[in-house]
Amino acid sequence: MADRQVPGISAHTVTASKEGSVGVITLGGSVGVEAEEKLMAAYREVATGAKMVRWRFLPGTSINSAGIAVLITIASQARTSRQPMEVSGLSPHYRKIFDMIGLTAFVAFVDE
Amino acid sequence: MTPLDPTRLGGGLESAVHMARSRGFSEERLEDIRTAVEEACRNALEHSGPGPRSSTSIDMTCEGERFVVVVMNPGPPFAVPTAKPDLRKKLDGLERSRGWGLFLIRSLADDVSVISHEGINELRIVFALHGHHKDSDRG
Repeated sequence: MADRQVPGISAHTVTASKEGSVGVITLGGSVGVEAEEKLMAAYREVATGAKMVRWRFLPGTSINSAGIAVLITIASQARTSRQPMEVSGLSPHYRKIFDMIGLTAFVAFVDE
Repeated sequence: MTPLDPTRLGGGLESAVHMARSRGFSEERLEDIRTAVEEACRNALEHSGPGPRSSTSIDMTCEGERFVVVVMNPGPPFAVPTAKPDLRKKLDGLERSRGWGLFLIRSLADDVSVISHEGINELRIVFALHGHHKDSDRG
């Protein structure tokens, strides 16, 4: 899916990396359905051999419900692979959103 | 009513935040407003059926101590769900992972209603200056 930047809404960024046995997906900007392809590719890249997957949110990152749905899809695949999920850097507002949805029961929040 | 333009969504959201801020809403509530209005606008744009382009539109007003956002779109009628989507079913792959937009709007706003008439849906979202979002749906 091609990126579609909306004026006034920053473009998303997604990067994948490994930190030991932790697969790290770093998100920035405005994350929505437009980020789906990059997020799924990032998960595939870090999932192999990872004992755990971490979503690292950069300061100022926003995520809408379609973006959250993509994260749920990834969380579903990680659960199937028995890879615990961690979240870091999420703002208080989006932590509240995660809490409303119920995601806080399935992911661990860590400070970095 | 202002036609909703997907290429100018960011500007529309900033207008909503600016208007609510001028009425004294806290920064925390402004984030709620921004998220809820973005979800409403994206829903309207995504689900708009055939009809005049101007039918997909937004209107924002201050009524006393309430900030009211009305988003209209042509399309099939819908209702604001009363039940929380089942995250476990979504994680287990038994349901599609999407379907959180209206739930978030309902959770973040003080009142939400929808009226469907002659193929046009009118989603009305109310934020009360001294209101608070509901905690009852958290799970």
